[in-house]
Amino acid sequence: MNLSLGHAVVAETVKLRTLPAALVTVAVTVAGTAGLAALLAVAARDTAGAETVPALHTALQTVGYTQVGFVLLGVLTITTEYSGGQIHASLAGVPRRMVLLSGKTAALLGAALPTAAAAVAVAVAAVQLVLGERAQPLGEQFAEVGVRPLAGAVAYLVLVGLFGYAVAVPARSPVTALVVLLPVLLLVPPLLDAVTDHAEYLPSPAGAQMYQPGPVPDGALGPLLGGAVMAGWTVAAFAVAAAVFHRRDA
Amino acid sequence: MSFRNTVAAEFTKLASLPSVFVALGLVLLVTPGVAALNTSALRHALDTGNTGALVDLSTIDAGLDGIPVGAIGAIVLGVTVISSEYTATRRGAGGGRQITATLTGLPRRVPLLAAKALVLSTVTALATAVAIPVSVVVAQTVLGEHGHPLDEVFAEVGGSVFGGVCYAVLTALLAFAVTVLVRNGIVPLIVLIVNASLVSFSLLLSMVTPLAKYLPDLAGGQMFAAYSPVEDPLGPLAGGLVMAAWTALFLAVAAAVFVRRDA
Repeated sequence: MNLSLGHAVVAETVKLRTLPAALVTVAVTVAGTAGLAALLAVAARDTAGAETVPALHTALQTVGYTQVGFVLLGVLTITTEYSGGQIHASLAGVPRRMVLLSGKTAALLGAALPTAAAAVAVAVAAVQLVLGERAQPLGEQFAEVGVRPLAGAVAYLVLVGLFGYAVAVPARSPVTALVVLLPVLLLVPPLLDAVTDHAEYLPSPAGAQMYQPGPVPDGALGPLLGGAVMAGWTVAAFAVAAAVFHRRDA
Repeated sequence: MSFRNTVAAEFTKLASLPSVFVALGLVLLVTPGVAALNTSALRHALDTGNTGALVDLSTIDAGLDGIPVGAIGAIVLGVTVISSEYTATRRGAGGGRQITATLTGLPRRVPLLAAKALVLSTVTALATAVAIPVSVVVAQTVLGEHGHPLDEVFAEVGGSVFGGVCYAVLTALLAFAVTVLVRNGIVPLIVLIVNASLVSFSLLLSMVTPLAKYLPDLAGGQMFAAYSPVEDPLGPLAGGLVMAAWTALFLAVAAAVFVRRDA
C-alpha cells in the first residue's frame, strides 16, 4: 500500500470532521463569538453616549476571546489520537510520520479557515444588529480601516490554531497542552509588557498587530511584521513537534 | 473503609500525580514571580514619576497581584484530582479508567468526593499560605526605598493574605466541582484560565450589567484586592461569602449528579 500525502489529507479530514469534540468546538466558537460580539456592542453603546459606534473596532475585540476556540480545535486535532490509543492505528496506516503530521495540518487548516471566516463574519453581523442605527455606516468604516483588519483577524485565528496544534503534539494530553498554551497566549504578554518592550515579540501580541484597526502606532511592529513574527513562532513550534514526533514511540 | 483511610488513599493518589508538581510549581513560583514583575513595573513608575499606565499605585499591598495568576495552579490541581480518574489508559493497558477501581474500593460516593475535596483544600491552602507571604516579602524587597517595614506590611495586609488563601481554595473547589460534572478537564481549565486573564468573561459581563459583581471570581477577588474593576464592589467578607455560596452550590450539584450516574 502506497499512501500519498493526498490520501493522508483526505483521511485526516474525515477523522476531524467526524470527531464530536471538534464539531462542538467549532459550533460553540462561532455561536460564542456572536454572543460575545453582542455583549461588547452593548458595552460600547453604553459608553459611546450620543456618538455613533465604530462597529468594526467592537467586532474585532472578540478575537481575544474567540482565539481560545481555535487553540482548542488545534489541540483536539492531535490529542484525541492519544486519548484511546487511536494513534497506533493511524501510524499503522500511515507509517511515515511527517506525512501523517502534514495530513493533520492540512485537515486542521481546512477546518480552521472557514470557521475563522464565519466567526469574524458573525461578529461583525452581531455588532451591527445590536447597534442598529447607532453604528457608524459600514462603508464609512471600511473606507477608514480597510478590510485588512478583518483579513488579519482570520489569519490570526488560523495561525493560533496551528500554534496550538504544534504545541499539543509533544504534549499529547489536552490538559497539559492547554495549561501551557492559555497562559502563554493570554497571561504572559500583559505581565511582561509591564517590564519590557520586547513583550511585543511574543506570539499573541505580535499576531494581534494583524487585526489592529487604524494606523500603526509609532514603534509598533505593524501588521506584516507582526504576522511574520507570529508565523515564525508557529514554524518553530512545528519544528519541535516534528522532531519529537519523528523520534519517539508514538 | 473509614473516612480517615479514604483521605489517606486520596492523599497518596494526589501526591503521585505528575500534574501536582506543575500545580505546586505554578502556585509557589508564579505567585511571587508575578508579584516581582508587577512590582518592578511599579517601582520603575515611582522612580521615573511616569505613572500613567498603572491603575494601582499603592505600595503596601504590592505583593498581592500574583494571587489570581498563581490560582491557576489551584485550578490545575482541582481539575486533575478528578479528571485523572476519568482518563482512559492506553488500549494496551486495558483502556480502563481509574474511577472504576476507586469506586470498587470505596462504593460510598459522597465520602469519596468529600475526601478528595478535603485533600485538595488542604494542599492548596498549605501551598498558598507559603506562596502569598513570600510574594509580599518579594514585592517589598523589589520596592527597595519605596517599600515599608515588613511588620507594618503584614499588619496592614494580613487579612488580604488570608483572603488570598481562601480565594485559591475556593477556586480549586470550583474547578473540582465543575470537573466532576463534565468528567474532563478541558472546559473548566478554559473557562477559569481565560477568566484569570485580561479577556475575562466576568470583566466583559461587568461592562454590561452591575450584577456581574456577584460572579464568583469578581466577588471572591474582593477578599484580597484593593482595586476592583467593577463599580460599587462587595466588601471582603460579603465577597468571600458570595464566592463560598457559589462553590457550595456547585459542589452540591456535583455530588447529586455523582451519586446518581454510572461513574
